[in-house]
Order: sequence, then structure tokens, then C-alpha cells
Amino acid sequence: MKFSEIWLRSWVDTKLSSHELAHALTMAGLEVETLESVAPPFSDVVVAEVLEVTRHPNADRLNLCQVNVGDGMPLSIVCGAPNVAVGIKVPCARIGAILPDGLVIKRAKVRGVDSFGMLCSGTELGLAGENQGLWLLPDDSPVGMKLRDYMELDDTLFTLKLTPNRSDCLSIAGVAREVAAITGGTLNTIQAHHVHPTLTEVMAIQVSASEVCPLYCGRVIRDINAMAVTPLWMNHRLERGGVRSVNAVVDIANYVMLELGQPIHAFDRDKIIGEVVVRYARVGEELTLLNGQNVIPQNDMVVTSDDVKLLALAGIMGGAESGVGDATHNVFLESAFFAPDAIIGKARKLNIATDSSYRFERGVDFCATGTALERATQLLLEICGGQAGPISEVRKNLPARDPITLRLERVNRVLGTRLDSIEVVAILRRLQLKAERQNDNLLVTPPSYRFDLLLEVDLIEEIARVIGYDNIPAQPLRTAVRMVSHTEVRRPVSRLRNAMVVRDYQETISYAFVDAETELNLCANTTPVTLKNPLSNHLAVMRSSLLGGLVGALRVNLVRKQSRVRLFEVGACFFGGNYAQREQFAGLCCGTQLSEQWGEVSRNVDFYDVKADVEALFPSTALLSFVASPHPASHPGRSAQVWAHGRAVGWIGELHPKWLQQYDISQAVVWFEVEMDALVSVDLPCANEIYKSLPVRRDLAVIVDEDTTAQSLLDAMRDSDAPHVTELALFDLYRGKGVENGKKSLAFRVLLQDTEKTLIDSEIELSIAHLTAVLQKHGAQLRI
Amino acid sequence: MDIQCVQCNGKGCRVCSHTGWLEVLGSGMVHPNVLHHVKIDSEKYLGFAFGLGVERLAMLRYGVPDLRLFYEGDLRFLKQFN
Repeated sequence: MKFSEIWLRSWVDTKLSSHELAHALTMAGLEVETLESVAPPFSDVVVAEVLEVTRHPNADRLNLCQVNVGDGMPLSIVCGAPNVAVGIKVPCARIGAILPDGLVIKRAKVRGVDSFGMLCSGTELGLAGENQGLWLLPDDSPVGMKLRDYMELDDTLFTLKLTPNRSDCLSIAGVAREVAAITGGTLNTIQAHHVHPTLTEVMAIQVSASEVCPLYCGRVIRDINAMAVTPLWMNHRLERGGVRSVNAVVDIANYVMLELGQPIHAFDRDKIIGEVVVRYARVGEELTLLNGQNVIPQNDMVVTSDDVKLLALAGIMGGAESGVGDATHNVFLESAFFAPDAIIGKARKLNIATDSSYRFERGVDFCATGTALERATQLLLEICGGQAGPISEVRKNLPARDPITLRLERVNRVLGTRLDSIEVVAILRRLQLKAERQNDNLLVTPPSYRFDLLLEVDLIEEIARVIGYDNIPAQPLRTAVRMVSHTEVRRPVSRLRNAMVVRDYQETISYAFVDAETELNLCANTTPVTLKNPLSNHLAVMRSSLLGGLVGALRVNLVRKQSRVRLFEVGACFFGGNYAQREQFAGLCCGTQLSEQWGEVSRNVDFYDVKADVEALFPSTALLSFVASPHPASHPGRSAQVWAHGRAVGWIGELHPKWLQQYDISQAVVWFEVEMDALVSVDLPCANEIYKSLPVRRDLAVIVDEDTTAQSLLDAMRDSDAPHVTELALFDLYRGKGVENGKKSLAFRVLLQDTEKTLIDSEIELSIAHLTAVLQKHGAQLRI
Repeated sequence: MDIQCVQCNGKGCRVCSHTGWLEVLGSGMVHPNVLHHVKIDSEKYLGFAFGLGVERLAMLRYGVPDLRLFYEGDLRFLKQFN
């Protein structure tokens, strides 16, 4: 909603300045989006008439003009504009004038001829529009009058960003009503001009869709001058309200809509054959609208028709054929109320947006339908002449405004105020809400123009707006504080994040949406959770793994020449079927293991580096193991499932070469992803007895086939329950001289101990023999 | 809810469209119909709602020019926040 401040102030008296008024409106919930001056500052520019134009004696493109600026003494002014002519009225900057760009007009000699001012274009005065030479003013412009006064340029343009519930403010009258309520200013309601009919002609109106159109008013006006010129003041207000001037009749209809909020339509009376009917559209009907668009209304849309054809899309736009043009002599003016439910969505369905449908969708005051018609008639008779007929009206079942019970105690409870009933009634009166006392409560009936006041809270909101949200005292929240239990068997996620940061990783956040192809490639997920309304094709499904996002971030960095990338992400993943959601923790590494340095031989990060990072994330009691197993994202020989707490909880691997190729990555990438739950769950420690004796260490070196994993041997030894063994670990891996091709040498450290006594040799030998037997059973050959 | 513009300290600049204020969050009281739908007695309970985009606040706080930077994972950006 855009409007001229001067127009608004003609409706309501307020002492507030433009900025204060804008602030008051914003604070009351009618946000003033912009506040702009209609014209930049300039002074001493008046309306002038060109009396005489002669060629400049010394320049072909310049003219010497005699100009009347209203003080009896014509001025000599040199002008270079091509459209200068005798008799035109133009703005003239007199000597001493200051233009918006700072130019001060002085008496000047132009090529040897004295010039006493400057004739101006719109651009030179800082007004929009192309520089097409001098700004030609209307012929009846009063010579000598200050241009700023004549064109009402000391005006401010308000743009309101209205919420959809406040349709009552889609007019000057509505905003003025609101300003009066908020500021306590006086409302200057324009008197309802009742036009006495001088014709007897009555248009027959029939409304068959009365639930959609409960009120239809119309009247015939004959012998108008459709070529009449729209008055300047009306033009200003329309232009500043964002409406383009069309012709006097249409301009008047639009003016009344901006002024009172009631859309008015003018038909060419002579194009209407028979009676005017408001009904639902029928199959096969077509209509060419005023904007030239051809539409086929659907049968849930309401139209106006005569005996033979459609006249208009009701409440949305009129038809071209029955529209008013220069040749129109007689008009039929329509002012109707169309129910919001019937209009909402219809215009959009046909890809049309009009000021009319915008208002009807949100709700138009059904008690102002007749007033608006009278107002339009009055303006039409004033501007275009003519003879008006009586108003015909069809009325049925207008919306009811049920009284709402307002409890004083509830008002104060919701707002945190201490208002008494006198104050509440006074506020309601300012809003023109009728209140009746009923015991301790008030019975409030909303006016016809308020479609948004349905419940008690709606009235309470009104009270809050008038008081001002800033004036409701702020109070600290008072509540009982309860301690939150902190369980020892869950570790905080921040600890995991810190562990990764310490290990030189950076945390990233990716979208939870990925493209279906990534899910298929990296997770072999053929049934991802798909979005109904994706932002784009690349964000069409929910991720079941964080890997896709990490690979995306890796690629971003590689393109930007960051060759060493270590990233991790914590986030939810989503699984189809029963729509499960699970927190996961994932990481990815690429490039050198250490950032550039001199102490160590530089090498790229490998599987085992990342394995150590994963181990660092888990609690020491998690019983961690890595079991070789293929994963769709990983290199077939460099992929393992992570086991903890006796179950599979994640994956670690090197990205498959085919994905490196597909995603344009030139170096090996190692990644892991584990369930968050496995990382944060930790068993409550249970203290074991401390060994009094010293441990005995024995090393076991074996030669095994390449495909035998150290993990399988460790697991077998642990499961064998050899007595006194307290620790088993791999400490060496060797291939090369002394070991056959296709074999490797593994060395395990075995610690033996007893809680009570020092072990004797025979006990130690017994345990080692036990372990040796287990190793041999698994194909290991003892190295001597 | 608005805060004073972080760019110009309320004097008015391009970032705040010369208003001196920046909108940071929407807030309000819960409509009784909403409470009704989740079977909460609106006579007994009042609801307050407020929420802000953490990115938006971070942008204002740290002078981040583009929201997309938060989601790209560019190391040169991430490393500024250690």
C-alpha cells in the first residue's frame, strides 16, 4: 500500500512529523517499509509561460525566449531544449534558484546574450522520467505559482508493508482511521455525498451466486464526457498511490478504490445487452480482459454477464469489450461486495493480479459499498458531467459480525498489564469498536471493515497495539530452576569435536539435502527419503550419510588450491522406510599427513592415520575392532567396518578410485563415519584390583599369509582365554628380506601377570604355549 | 524484533536501508488455535514463540558477507574461527 502523505493528512489531523508518523504506524503493526520525498529539494522554480521564441543570434541550436513568470516583466532566457515553443507552460528557475544538483541560477551571458533564468526539464528538477526536453505543464497552470506548491512536490510517499489480515488499511480512509486510533488525532470523514438521481433508468441486476456476491450496487450515468481530463490533484494522488492514469472515468474508479478501499468498475452502458447477471461461469465461456488477456473462467469462478456475453471476471478484472473508452457516452458503475473465500486464489489461478482481487481476497468493507458508489458518481459528475440514475441494489446474507466477549482479567493476564475497564473501553472506542458492559466483561462487536477480529485474543492484540508494545513493562521471567541430570554414561559431543580439532581437523556443516546420485554412488542407497518440494535437483533427497557433504566440501577446497584437507561433520542422517533419523560423526582426509614441515619425511595421509583418529574418538572401554568389509564408497581392499560395544557402528576406508575419477579428485581420500551413539556411550567404570606383582613380557613373532589380518589373530588369542594374559598388542609388521613373497611377519606383545603372586617360568610357558597353539591353528608360523 | 544496525551503530546505512535497525527475529504469542490443535488448554497456558536463524546472527556478529560461506566448507573461511 503506497500513498501520498498530503492525501492522508487531509483525512486525519495529527501533529506528528512524517518520521514520527511512520514510526507510530510501524510500532502499531503497520510497517512503513519506505518513506521517500516526492521531489528532492529545490527553490525558486515557478510556472512560466513562453511568450516569444527567436533564434539566438550567435548559435544555431539555442533560442532566445521571452518568458512570463507572473510579475509583469517578461524575462529573457536562452534555452537549448528542442521542444520550446510559444504558448507552452514550463517550470522556470529564476535567478537565485538552487536546483537539486546544487546549481545556483545566476544572470549569465550565453554566447553574448543575457539570460535571466533557466527553463527546466523534469530530470533537472530531480524527478523521474526521461530527459525529453522541457517539462510541459498543463495549459491551465497558473503562471507565477511556485512549482512545488502547484505540483504538490512537498509531499512524502509512504509505502506500508501490510500483513494480510489488515485489509481494512488498504485505503486512505482505512489508514487515516488507524492513525486516528493510534495517535488520538481527529478523523475528518468525508461526508457521504448523496447524489440525487436525474434519470429514472434502472439497470436490471440479477445475482444468482449470492453466497459469493451478497451485495451488488450499480447505477447508470448518461451523457458523460469520456474525453474529460483527469484533474491534476487526482493524477498526483493516483500516481503516488502507484496507479497509472488511463482516462478520466477509469481514474475516478481507481481514485475511489484508493480512497475508500472499494473497487469500482465502470462498464460502457451501451455495450450491455439486457440485464446484468452475477453467476458462476459455465463450461466453454471465454472472456478477453481489459489487459488483452484471453481467459477461460473455470466453473468455480464468478463472472458478470449480460444476456449474450461475459462482461467481467467478478472482483478481478473487467472485460475489454464492455470497457470504457473515448467513445463512451453512457456508463454503468458497479460497486459490489465479493466474499473473500470466493475470490481467493482465483486470480492467481489465471495468472492475474489486480488491485481489485488483492482487496476482495482480503476483505472489503461491505458497509461502504453504497458510499463508494455515491462518491464515484459525485466525482464523475464533477469531472465528466452527465446525468445519474438511481442506485439499484441486490442484497442477501451479508457476513455477520458476532459480538466477542472480552474479559478484563484475561486482557491483563495475556498482556501483563493492569488496565481497568474504563481504560479498556477508551482504547476500544479509539478503535471504533463498540463495547457493551456485561457483568465484569465487555461484549465487543467488530465493525464491518475488520475481517480479522474473530476471537478474544484478537481484541487483546488491538489493545496491545494501541497501548504500544514498547509501553508494556518488561518483567524478568520468574521460574523455579531445576537441576538437569548429567549422566556419566554419555560423553558430551563437544568433547568429540575438540578431539578432532586437536587432531587438526576443521568442522564443516553441509545441507542435509543431497542429490539422489550421490546417495546412490556413495551409499548404494536406491530408496532415499525424497523431498516433495526440493530447493533444486541437487538437493532432492535427504542424506543417509555425511560423506556426500564432506566430498562436496573437499572438492570446493581442491578447486581453490587447498591441497591438504581434513574435515569432519556432526549431523543427522535420514533413512527411508520407517523414516528413522540418526546422529552420525564423519571425517575425511586428503593430502599430506602433516602440514609442511622439516622434521619428518613428507607423506600422504593413509588408512592407518585415520584409523588412529577414529580410535582416539572412542572411549577406551568400547572394545573397538576393524573388520575388513567392502563398502560402496571405498576401495575394495581398503575398507573396514568399525565394531564397538559388540556391534557394527560405522565404516572406515579409502575412497574408491572410480569416485576419485568421477569427482575429479587427484589424491587418495580416507574417510570414516560412525554412529554418534557409539561414540558418546561409555560404560560406568568398575575398578579392578591393581596387580601387586610386576608384569612379564613375552614377544610372539609369526609369519602369516598376506590376507591374514592381525585383527583376526588378536581376536583368536583373546578368545582363547589363555591364563594370566592381561594385554595383547601388535607392535611390528615386516615384509621383505627373510620373509617369503606373499607373506608378512607380525610381532605381538604379550603381558602376563597374576593378582597375587609373581609368575613362575612354568606358568608363563604354559600360557605362551597356549597362545602359540592358537596362532598355529590360524595358519601362523612361529618365527624363531 | 530488531537490533541496532551492527554496521553503522544505528546511524543508518545501506545494510539497514537507512533505518538504523536490523530485523533479527520474529516473535509473538502463540495463537490459541495452535494450542488447541496440540490439545493444550489456552485458558490455562499462554505460549510465546521466538526464533532466529543462527546463520543470520553469526553473519552480523562476525561480519560474514554471504550466508553460503557457512555451508561451503572452504578451509580459508573455516580457519578464521579457531
